[in-house]
Amino acid sequence: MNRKNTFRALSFLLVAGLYFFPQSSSAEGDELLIYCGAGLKNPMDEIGELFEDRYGVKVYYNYAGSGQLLSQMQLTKKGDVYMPGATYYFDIAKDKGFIDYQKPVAYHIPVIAVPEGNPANITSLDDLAKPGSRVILGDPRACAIGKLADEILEKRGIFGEVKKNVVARTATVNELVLYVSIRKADASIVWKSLLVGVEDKVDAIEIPEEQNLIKIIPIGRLTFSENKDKAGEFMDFVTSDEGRAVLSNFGYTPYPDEKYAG
Amino acid sequence: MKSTRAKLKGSKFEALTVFLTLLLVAFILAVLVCIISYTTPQDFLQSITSHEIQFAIKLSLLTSIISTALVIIIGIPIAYSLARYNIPLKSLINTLVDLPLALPPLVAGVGLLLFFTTPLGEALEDVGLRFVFSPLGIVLAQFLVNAPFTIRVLRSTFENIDSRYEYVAQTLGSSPMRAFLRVSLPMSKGGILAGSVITWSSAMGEFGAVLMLAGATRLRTETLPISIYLNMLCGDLDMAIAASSVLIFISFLSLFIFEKYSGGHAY
Repeated sequence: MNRKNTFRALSFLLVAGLYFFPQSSSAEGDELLIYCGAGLKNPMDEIGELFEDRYGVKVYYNYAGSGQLLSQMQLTKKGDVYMPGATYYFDIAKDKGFIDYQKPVAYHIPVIAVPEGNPANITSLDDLAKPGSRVILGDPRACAIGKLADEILEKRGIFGEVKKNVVARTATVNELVLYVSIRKADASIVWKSLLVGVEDKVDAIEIPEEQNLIKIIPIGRLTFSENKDKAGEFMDFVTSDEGRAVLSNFGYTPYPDEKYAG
Repeated sequence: MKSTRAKLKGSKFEALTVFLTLLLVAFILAVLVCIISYTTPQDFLQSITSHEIQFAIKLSLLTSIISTALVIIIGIPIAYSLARYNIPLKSLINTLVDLPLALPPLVAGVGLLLFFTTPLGEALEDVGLRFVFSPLGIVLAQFLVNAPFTIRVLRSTFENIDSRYEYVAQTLGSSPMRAFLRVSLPMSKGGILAGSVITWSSAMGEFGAVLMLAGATRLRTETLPISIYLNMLCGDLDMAIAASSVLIFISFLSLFIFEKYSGGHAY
């Protein structure tokens, strides 16, 4: 009897488990899958919630490095919207014919991140080339900031020297901030907006505009989206006054802006 | 008797169990075939001979051999003490030694990373023992994840050897250490070899703890599993498949050696 009950309980659990197992199909038509650069997580989570309340459409994010996302959509041919950290990967997606509607969202400004108190006394890009500085950068094939940091250093003519100081490369910008905050590196190049909220652990050092490469965060609808109307509405919402207000709160400069107009 | 047997043989129950077994075998084969048959031989050859995969193979071999050697050298005395001696709180110690076995390697890796942010960890780094973002970290991560399993295998090997052999050796004038070295150790050769091979294979495939502690830096801490991860996330399937195939080959090889030398013991 006892054994029979155990068997019944197990069968019930199995059936219940299968019934409640989350389904990833979007057959209902009232949900969106957004491929979003991992660095944009904080504001986009909030914008997603606002959009869900307003339009009754469930928004699912796939957060990863921008290059990583590109290869995911290439393999799966699924999803509705792509929002990478910079236009580089977006242009590749456009070349591949994945994008049929696009909008600029905000500026992404690279800064130097150092642990609180700046133990290695880094004050400029050139200091990243100082022998003994432990520099951590993003993987150029995986995330937008990795690609951009290499370009900034090349533009400054110190890429070769800094390369010798690179202790590691990561797949997302979020990991860079984490490793700097636990003092496993003396400096990194990250998006300025990522340092909002972690001021007690990481300090930002501005890069002079003439040395810097400021990028625009784009958002685009995927050609293989099965829910184009809602995807378009989502993009319009992100770039609406409401969406822009959320982005400003998280330290982004919404597009367009006079300061970076040139 | 004979009729009962015949009945059992043709029963629906037998058909069901055999069917399930065949289904699982087919599933496993399908998964392996999917990996191996994805690329063309030319692409495969090009990937496997690329600088990146060659680096990953060498780094994986180097780190896994060192970590396996460390696990075995340190594991033998530990396993012996757990098998033979009455240590206070033995069951608690046994549980703690086994704990990383049940712990996801990712969690072990996060713990290791945080350990190196403590003053003790920082002191180790100051004297030049750099584990974070370094191949040394790969060895340490493999060691922590694999040591409990290996110690379990070795412990059960020693437990299977009658301690009377050692007593006899000792009554004939051997010291406990000599008795261990000359009697128990040679008798447990098969178990030690089998344990080493499985430990090595598992070290070759260790991913989670390595990713957390040593990071995934191309051509620096890029072992074969890290190479699969990096190339999958950048969309280079050919490279990921080349690295996967090497790991599949190693799994077959080590399983073959394990079966041969473990003498049919189940651990």
